[in-house]
Amino acid sequence: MDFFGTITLILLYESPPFSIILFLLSALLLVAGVAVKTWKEAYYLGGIETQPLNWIEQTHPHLPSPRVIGIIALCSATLLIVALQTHSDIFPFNDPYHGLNLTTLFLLCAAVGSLAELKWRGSREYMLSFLEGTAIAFLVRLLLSLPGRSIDEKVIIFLLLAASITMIEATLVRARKRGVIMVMVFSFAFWAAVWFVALPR
Amino acid sequence: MPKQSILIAEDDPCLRAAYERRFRRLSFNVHVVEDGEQALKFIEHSPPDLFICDIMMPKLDGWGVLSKLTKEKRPFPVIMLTNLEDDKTRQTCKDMCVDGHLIKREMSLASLCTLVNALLKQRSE
Repeated sequence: MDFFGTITLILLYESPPFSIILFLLSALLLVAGVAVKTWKEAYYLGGIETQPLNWIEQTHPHLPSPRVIGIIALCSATLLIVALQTHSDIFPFNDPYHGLNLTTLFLLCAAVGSLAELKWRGSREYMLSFLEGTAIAFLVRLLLSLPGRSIDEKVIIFLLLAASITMIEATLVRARKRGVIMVMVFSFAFWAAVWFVALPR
Repeated sequence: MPKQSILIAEDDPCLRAAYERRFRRLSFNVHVVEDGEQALKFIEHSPPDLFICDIMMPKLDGWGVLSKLTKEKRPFPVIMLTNLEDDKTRQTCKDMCVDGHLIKREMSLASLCTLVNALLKQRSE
């Protein structure tokens, strides 16, 4: 049974175990934290309306983008759905509820990304880079798991994909900071490590 | 009814973003540029319904823009926004037939929006 189905059943018919209570409390705190921060920022930005224009020019208040927060939430939700379908049976995501750890990870990512976007200028690049690295890793895994292909063909597909991604990055995306690229590489390496650990010995 | 367009020339990125967002929320078609040269190029191709111009800008400043965009050549109102509060600046604005000479210290986004709405309403009547 999937994670959300398990939670619903537990909450409706059984006394919930400690880990579920902890997860739900953490999720509630995270959502509340993001909501409070968003409200505070909206209130703060509302104040910009009445501030003198030279104050904006001198202080450069950070103007968070609701669109970026929406994109972070949407990407996290999409990747969570993909991950729940493909990763809930491998370590460290093979928890008894089939998705508790994965949901926690992506919920944390969405919350951290949203809070960072509200607080710091330029943080969106790092968050989107993490999501991009994850998406590329999932795509690579999907391609490598294509049925009826030999190892050689899979290696060629992998190399072609790597070359395409590098070309797209080089031509379409503007020059990125080293840290942003590192985040993408790290997120890719994280998922690669998860698969490596999960490989049958 | 087509959206009215506003051209904003401002070199400060934060203020530019604040203008852009604020006027977009009022359903204007907003175009922003970083200096006077870009503003003149934009006006040449598609004259806006209203032009908001900073005075101190790189490449070509607000005075440079106005000198090439005399009253006869522009069918739209122009608002000059500046931190310069001296009499000379006021007089120059008056001589160049500027529709609004505003001091940034005295203006907020809200009051700027009120003025823009009033000027555009006046223009459409």
